[in-house]
Amino acid sequence: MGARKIEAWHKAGIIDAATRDAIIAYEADNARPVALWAVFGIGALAIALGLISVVAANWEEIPGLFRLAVHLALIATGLGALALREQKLAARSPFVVEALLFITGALGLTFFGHLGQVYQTDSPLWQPLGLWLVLFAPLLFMMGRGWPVATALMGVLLWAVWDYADSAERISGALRGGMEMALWLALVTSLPVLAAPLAGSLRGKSARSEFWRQLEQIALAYAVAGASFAAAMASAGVFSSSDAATTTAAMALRGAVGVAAGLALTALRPGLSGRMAGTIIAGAGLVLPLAYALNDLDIPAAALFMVLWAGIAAAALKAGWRGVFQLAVGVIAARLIILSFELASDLLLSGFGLIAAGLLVLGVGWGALKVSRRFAPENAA
Amino acid sequence: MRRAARLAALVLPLAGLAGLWGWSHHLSRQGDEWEVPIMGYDPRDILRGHYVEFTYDWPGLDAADFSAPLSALCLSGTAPVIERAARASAAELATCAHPVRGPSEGIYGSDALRRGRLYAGQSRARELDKALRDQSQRAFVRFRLRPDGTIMPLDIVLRPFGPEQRPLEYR
Repeated sequence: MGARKIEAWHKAGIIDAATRDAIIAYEADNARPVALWAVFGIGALAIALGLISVVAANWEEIPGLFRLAVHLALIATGLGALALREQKLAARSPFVVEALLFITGALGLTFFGHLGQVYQTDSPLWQPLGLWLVLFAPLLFMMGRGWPVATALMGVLLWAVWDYADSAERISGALRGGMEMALWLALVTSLPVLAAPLAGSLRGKSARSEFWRQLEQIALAYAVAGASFAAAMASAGVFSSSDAATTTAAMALRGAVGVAAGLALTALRPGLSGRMAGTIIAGAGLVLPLAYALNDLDIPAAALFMVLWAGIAAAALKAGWRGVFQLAVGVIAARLIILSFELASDLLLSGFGLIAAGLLVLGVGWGALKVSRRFAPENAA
Repeated sequence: MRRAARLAALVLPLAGLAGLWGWSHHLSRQGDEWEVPIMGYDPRDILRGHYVEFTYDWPGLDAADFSAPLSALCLSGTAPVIERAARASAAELATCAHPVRGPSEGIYGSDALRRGRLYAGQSRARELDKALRDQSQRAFVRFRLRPDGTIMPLDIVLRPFGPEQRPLEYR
């Protein structure tokens, strides 16, 4: 905030001299030298990248044991700093602890690749990712304070479960995995949604509520993305029809986990926002088996997609999430436009059709803009 | 209680990674070193680092025979010289002196006994690339065969073609 602006407000009679001085004094005390931080950040990044490429290019000249020892010592230093100084650093800036935690975790993840290089071993990716989660997740859960660690944690979890499902399917592909395998993989891939009730229950009690909020939101986004994807797959009719019983059971199980996670979140975080988030997750769970039932039915599948997002818009309206409401309106508008082309794909082939399509896009866009401006709730405090 | 949990969470990653390192190190010391000729190769440079990808040319085995999956081999000879490698069934493996089992879930999946990779530094990868193009020599992968039948590539060595193509002694 420029001091000039404050001066102008004072001249216009909006604030008195005492307020002006107080604001200027406050801003001087609390200014964050963002530009300076950016310069430091770029410098540190350049040094780190340089070190990595020097090591990568010459790593054969550096003995493997020495490299691994340095790598492990760096991790130990990070952990030691967290052990001894976490509280002190957090008091000064929580961001520093978050960055230290993130870097230590990243070093831990790269250690697996480093071991593979030195000992010429390889393994499917989900194994190191899963082991990393076992080793680091307790620490990250205990000390994570913001979105970087929350995103890393959920990102590795999602990556691990999907890589596991992928390789398990490939291996069992020859043996035709069957019902048991399909249910097991459905359970594994829907487990990340359970992060929502876990994080939701801790959110109110913890001093690090921002971290738990991020975890809960990523789990919610995963549920919504999964349901949207399932509805899109149904629209395109790409669910395999060969083993209907297996797929039905798998989608039903995924849906049940989603519904359970949503209900649990509703119970564990009883406020309005918790109830709405839980409702969205449960609704997304319900969509999964329905999407499979509507496979290859253009309009019902598209309607299911829009019902999901209309539900999200309604929940956002009730909970006062302005951005979410506007996003939901935008997604529904985009789906409407896509649907119109799905139903009348020859629109683009004639001049008149093109004009009609253009008018339709403009109309839907204008309507969506109107709705999202007119009805969007003010952000809840 | 809370202090103890905190300490455990801090020690766990370090102990786990150190343990994994120790285990990898221990495994890398098991078994004998053998040499197997290779045919194709492909120097790669992917984010994981530089590596040479190659195709094994097991002595006595028709490399072009893809009619059946190659999941296990029985080697005969004395390390490091492979006299013959033969496809082996589970029963044959049990009596085999030097069994080789292909891991089913590595990067190469069921192809693990046909193809392999060796991580090498940037300059070493370039040298290998040049040497492998040289038609007058033959390339061998030196690998360690652990008692459980796992193979771990260690190095690529080159020997001139000649009356006796097989390595006579361990270099």
